[in-house]
Amino acid sequence: MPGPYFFESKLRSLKSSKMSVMASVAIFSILGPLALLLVPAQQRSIFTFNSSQASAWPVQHYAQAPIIIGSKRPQGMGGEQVSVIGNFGGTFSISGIGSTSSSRSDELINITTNLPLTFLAANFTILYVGGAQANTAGSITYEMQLYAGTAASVGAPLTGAVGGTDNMFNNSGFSLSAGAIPANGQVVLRLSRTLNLTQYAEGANTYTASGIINLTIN
Amino acid sequence: MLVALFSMALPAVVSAQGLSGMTISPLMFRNQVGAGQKATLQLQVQNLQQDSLNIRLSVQPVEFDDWTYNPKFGGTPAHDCSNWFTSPELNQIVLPNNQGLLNLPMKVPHIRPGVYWCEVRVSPHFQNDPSTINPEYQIPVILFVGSQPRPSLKLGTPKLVLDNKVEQIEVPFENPSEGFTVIGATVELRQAATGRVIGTYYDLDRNLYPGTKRNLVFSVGELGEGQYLITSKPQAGTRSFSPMAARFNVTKTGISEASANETYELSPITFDPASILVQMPAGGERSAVLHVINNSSKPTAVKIEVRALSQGMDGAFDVGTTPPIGPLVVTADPETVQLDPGRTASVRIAISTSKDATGDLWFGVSAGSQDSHEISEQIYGNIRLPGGIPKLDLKQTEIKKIGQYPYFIGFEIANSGNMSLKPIPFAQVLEQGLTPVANLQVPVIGGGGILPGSVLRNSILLPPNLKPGVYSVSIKYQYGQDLFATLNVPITIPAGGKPKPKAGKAK
Repeated sequence: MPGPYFFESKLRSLKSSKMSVMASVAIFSILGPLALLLVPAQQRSIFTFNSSQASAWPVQHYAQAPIIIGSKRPQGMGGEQVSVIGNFGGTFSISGIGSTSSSRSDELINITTNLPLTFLAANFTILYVGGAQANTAGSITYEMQLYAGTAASVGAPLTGAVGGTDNMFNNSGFSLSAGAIPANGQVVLRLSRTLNLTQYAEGANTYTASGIINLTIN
Repeated sequence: MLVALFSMALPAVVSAQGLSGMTISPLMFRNQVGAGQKATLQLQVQNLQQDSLNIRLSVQPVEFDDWTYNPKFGGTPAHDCSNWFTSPELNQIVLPNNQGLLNLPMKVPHIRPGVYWCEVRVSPHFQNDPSTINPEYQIPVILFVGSQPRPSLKLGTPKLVLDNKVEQIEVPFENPSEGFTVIGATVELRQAATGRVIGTYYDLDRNLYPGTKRNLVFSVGELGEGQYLITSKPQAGTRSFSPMAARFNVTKTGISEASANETYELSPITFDPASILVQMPAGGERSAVLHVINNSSKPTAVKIEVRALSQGMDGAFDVGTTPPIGPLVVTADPETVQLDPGRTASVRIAISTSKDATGDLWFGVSAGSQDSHEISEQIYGNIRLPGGIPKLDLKQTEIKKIGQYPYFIGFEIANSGNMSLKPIPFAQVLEQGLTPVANLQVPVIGGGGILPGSVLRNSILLPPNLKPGVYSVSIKYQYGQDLFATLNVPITIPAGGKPKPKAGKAK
């Protein structure tokens, strides 16, 4: 494995291509419509920045994600990551006969981020049992909210709570803006599920609903 | 900036020391591609668990609902690029504690220049996880083909609205053009009666696709009764706009506007050339001719103003409200021109500097009509004088950790010389301070340039799977053949700090 010297050498090898770009910029300046004030090419080996490069509408903006062109290998990665573990639940095992009682469960999911994020509920379903629709047996009411802190120490709410019952929960969501991210980057997503049973619910059944929480930096 | 580390864990499996679950990189693609070109987008998935991870991936067309920007799948939008991918669906197993590379080969058709987009939907599922509610990553793919049209925006005054009994501020943006840009805003909420600042909020680097409308949303919590003043300073691309204000009354019965909602459009006035670049000796005088063009269908009086230029910590340029100060005097002659539709006028920009001036000096020129609902056109000017001294400094600002595992290094880049620089950033993790074990991607802030005196804010993320040991993170900004700004950050991964190997079980 090469050491830091290689690292420096690699940087230096980039110089020539960079400088030819600079020369092109300088030539463009000379031949451009502002010909009354000629700018000789910079002879110093300094990576300068000028007003012709300071576009208000840069094409690529900030992101420069890995892309492989032809047979080239990807550049080193590791700067952008997203990781997730967890389960948001979704299954209720019911014992006893139908009831109007309800049970609520809260999932507190730790999130660490330094980017603005958007959370959106999608594809949430009614209750199923054994692959068959079972919406007569009851429903699930969901609520989702974001807080500062961790699951062990939930802090102040960062967003309002959004919610809905069964598939009416779909399209509920919120954004975590860049400025709302706590300094340590740690926030908690609360997903609450309240099961509401009807008299048609049957004991010893496993009622299941499924859904997706979409995460994007959009 | 596109750097994120995002980890989620059930309380039962929160690792006190490090990350667990999986990581995925990158979170968004914004790439320039050529018509007819073959390329491959690559996603990297790191399985940090001892269970196999099944990744199901699908590239799909996407549109966005107006204002909410909720994604809609299943349509056939005109700017779709999902059918450029030769394998739009993929299933891949990533073995425990292993890395998987998901390649998405594509062939760009011979298509007219513009921006094209779609979304990669990634559904991870760990073996033995019975959850029926799961996360899905949605990774935007935004591909730029050829030269891009300039966006034409409409910006609205901020709104205070009630959402689920909680007040939130919405800052509206409309993009009726064919140009893509990114948007952001800084918002300040004050109590109108006292002027007391209740909170400041910001967001940045959000996508604004052509032909779409979007609100940037800021939760402000519950507000008591009274009148509130909201000031938003929108941003698009690398341009900051003038602040926009609105007043709202909060009562027991709800929220009402105390001032009218206003919408502002970018001026149809343009400059030619689109920038001014002048090299001159200290104490010299120069002049340049700017052509001012009325692209609208109505006659208009255009006011030309020379203003100070500054650069924010996110790289955006801000043309101020006062003339440039210091060793630079720039004037426009005439300051007002009357322009019929489609006509062009010439304006002389006179520049003079003091004898002790050195290095690079910057200013902004704006052209605005008398229509108060138009946002003035702006260009940037750069004067180059002898005696420039290039100097960049890096300063560490923070290290964030998950438990004992460091994952984030924040730092500042300060241009402490008097030349404008466009450095190339690099970063490596060095084991024992010597052996490179990872190359890190360093985000390019704004357009990549740093004006003299400006300080930019940046950050990098560390790999989630470093073995216990002592490392040094070397961040370098090269701004010349032999010119480097260097920041070395020592980090330690404790023996218990490796990623937690086991996921929690579903309820």
